[in-house]
Amino acid sequence: MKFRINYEVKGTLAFLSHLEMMRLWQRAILRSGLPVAWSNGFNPRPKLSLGPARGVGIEGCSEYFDVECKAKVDPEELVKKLNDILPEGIFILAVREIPQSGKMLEAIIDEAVYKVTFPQGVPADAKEKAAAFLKEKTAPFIRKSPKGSKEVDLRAFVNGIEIKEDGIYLSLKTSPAGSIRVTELLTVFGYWDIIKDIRIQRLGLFVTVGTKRFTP
Amino acid sequence: MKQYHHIPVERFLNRVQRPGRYVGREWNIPQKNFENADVQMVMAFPDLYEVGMSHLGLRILYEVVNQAADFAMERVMAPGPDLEALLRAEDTPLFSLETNRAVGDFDILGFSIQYELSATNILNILDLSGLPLRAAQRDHTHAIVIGGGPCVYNPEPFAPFFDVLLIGEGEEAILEFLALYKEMRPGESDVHRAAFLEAVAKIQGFYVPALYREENGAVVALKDAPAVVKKRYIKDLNQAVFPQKPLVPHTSIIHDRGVLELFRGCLRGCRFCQAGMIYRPRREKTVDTLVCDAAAVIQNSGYDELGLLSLSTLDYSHIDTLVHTLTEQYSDQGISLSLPSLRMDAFSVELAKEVQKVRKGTLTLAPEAGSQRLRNVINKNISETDIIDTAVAAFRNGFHSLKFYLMIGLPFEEKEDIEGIKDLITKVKRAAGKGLNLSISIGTFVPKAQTPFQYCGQEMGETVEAKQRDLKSWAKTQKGVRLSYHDFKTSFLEAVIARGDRHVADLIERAFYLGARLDGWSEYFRYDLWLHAIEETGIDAKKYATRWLSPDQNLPWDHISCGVSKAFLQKEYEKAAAALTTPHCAEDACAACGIGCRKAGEKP
Repeated sequence: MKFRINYEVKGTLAFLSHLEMMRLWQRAILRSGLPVAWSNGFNPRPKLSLGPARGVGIEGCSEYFDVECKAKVDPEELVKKLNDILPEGIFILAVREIPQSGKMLEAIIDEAVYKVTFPQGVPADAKEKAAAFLKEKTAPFIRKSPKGSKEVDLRAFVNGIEIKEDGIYLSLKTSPAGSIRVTELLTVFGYWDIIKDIRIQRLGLFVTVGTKRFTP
Repeated sequence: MKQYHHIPVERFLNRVQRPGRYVGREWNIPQKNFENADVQMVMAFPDLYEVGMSHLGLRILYEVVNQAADFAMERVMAPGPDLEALLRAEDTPLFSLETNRAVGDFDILGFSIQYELSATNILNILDLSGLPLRAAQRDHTHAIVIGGGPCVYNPEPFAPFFDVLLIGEGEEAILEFLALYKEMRPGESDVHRAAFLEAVAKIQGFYVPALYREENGAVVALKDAPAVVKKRYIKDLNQAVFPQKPLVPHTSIIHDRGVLELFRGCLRGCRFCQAGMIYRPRREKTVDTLVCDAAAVIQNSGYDELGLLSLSTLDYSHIDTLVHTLTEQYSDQGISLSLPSLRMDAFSVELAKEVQKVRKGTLTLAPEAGSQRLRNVINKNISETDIIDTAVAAFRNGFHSLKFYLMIGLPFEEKEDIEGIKDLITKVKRAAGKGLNLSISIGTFVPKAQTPFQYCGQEMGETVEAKQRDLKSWAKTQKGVRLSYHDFKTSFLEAVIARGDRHVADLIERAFYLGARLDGWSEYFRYDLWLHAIEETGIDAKKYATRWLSPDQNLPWDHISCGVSKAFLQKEYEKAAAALTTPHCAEDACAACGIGCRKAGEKP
């Protein structure tokens, strides 16, 4: 049986890396006593796969991972068992059974929606800046990493920007081929590292089929 | 009521390399109100989180204190250089992992001192907490600073920074200390604080440095503090607290697995080994206790690996039964066992095969010295045949990579002993045949207090480095052999601190002010800062490391007793000089080390 688990990550645990989240789930599942299926090979691991990586420090309001069990499990029991052994800040919202042969989460999710909030409210020039950004065809950005720098076109990954009273809402493209960081956009806007204590939340992840948008 | 400052930690986490080190909230954090306990302690491990959380002792004390309703213990580790820079730039104190409160606000700040080169990290934690570095500059408004761990068996280089040092095991002593704190309220006035420290000095195991002073190379007690501070140890490990609900870190740590402690102490008596002396007597847990610990740890943690921890794990009396029971129970759940290093006999290889059924790793053998004569000098009671046979048996059983630990710069070492290392490796390779990969790790001998080799000077750097180069260039010509060694400079500083007196504290303090941090990490170690500190303080560091001490002169650590008698250490030293061995405690008769676990001459 395969399950798709929908969860949230709040507070400081949002600072865990993708790899650290992976290990957290592996151990949580072993603690829960659920009959998880194991991978074969030299170094066996519980069979689970996570959705697209979240930037470090970004809270997740509706994240996903898939897990395979080797025996029948009641989904409600699964939710309860997991929530009993999760650290403060991580919580299972829902679980549903999925077909054994479905595609990986990372392969199907193509959009991520973020909300950015500022302690002193949305900057006054946000609307103006967003409109100017969306008008452009490209928005080159130099991404620096320990391995060197690389140019990325931020514009190509932005589906939409909406400025509301309570924050900036961003719809970004994501795929195994690439994605951009919210902090990169905020850097271009002149907010990141300038305004203190910016809070970023990933509100949801979506799959597009034809012209329709679904949750995974 | 004391005021505690809460630090907005999230502000910094975006800007550091591994925020997982500082987020806390590990699974199995005790469900108690840390901020309500009568006495609130924060325990520091003066190294990065991944090292600190790999240490069992810290986890045990954490469990012991947090099981008590009146007391609470939080944790803090050394910050990485990036977090330190941010905290200093924004004038923000270092914070505890549990409640993110400023470390300097706690009633008590404890340090686990496992490694000499964590000395500058201790000072950094004190400084980042806003506490004066030296005990003499602190008053009743400051936290009481206490330390413990193997390094304090020569406490003097650390002494000026500490109000109290605990010699020996902490499980029982820490509760007595906290209870006395609660009763005597040293935070109320300087008079209360002084009275408390005097009272602490009267409890066995506690050393209050302010109550002692140096006279003619010896440390003598003032007032009515005990002349010799005797270590504490717990009698029955089966009755002792063990963390059955271990904290499960979110970020990967050095030893990222569940742990069982099979026994304390070691019956081998290797003459260079401080752990082998200070953790005596040997005390085993029963198989029942261990199986029960294992079940709890696995169920409560979600670890898929269980480490069997002890000084020479395979010497556990019931190792066979224990391993069979655990593998039977857990191998089909995907849970593997791991052993730190292999005893060199055929039985061990069989056992290793069984242990590594689930995941096959490398095996480690520790012959320590290359020649039989030198192995006799250090009292490593194994023959060349044992070593070769074990390596071959391991290879034939599918362990194609073996790790060898060897040491150079040992006392009474000759040129032939270095040739002996090459000779041993060559023989092992020839006996095993094609396909064996050997990874040879060459350590440098560091003389340690409370061992038979406490009298021996460390070899000069130039000589050690020449030996390292010679071995390295030899290894390059050997197929299937990889050889690595540690930077001599760190071994040198280890020796300076391990055998130093109170003056060495000035050197540590100077190095800290010059910017020395995380000296145990090659990427952060700055030897130039230490050289500056040596120059500026005028302290003859080389003298501390290389001097040979006479058995009839005063030693800077003579006022500390680990229970092993000075007479025994002297006798062992003399036997080493004559390359004579002493049988280990399990065979033959008791060697009368003085710990008193049985009568001298009594058969085991």
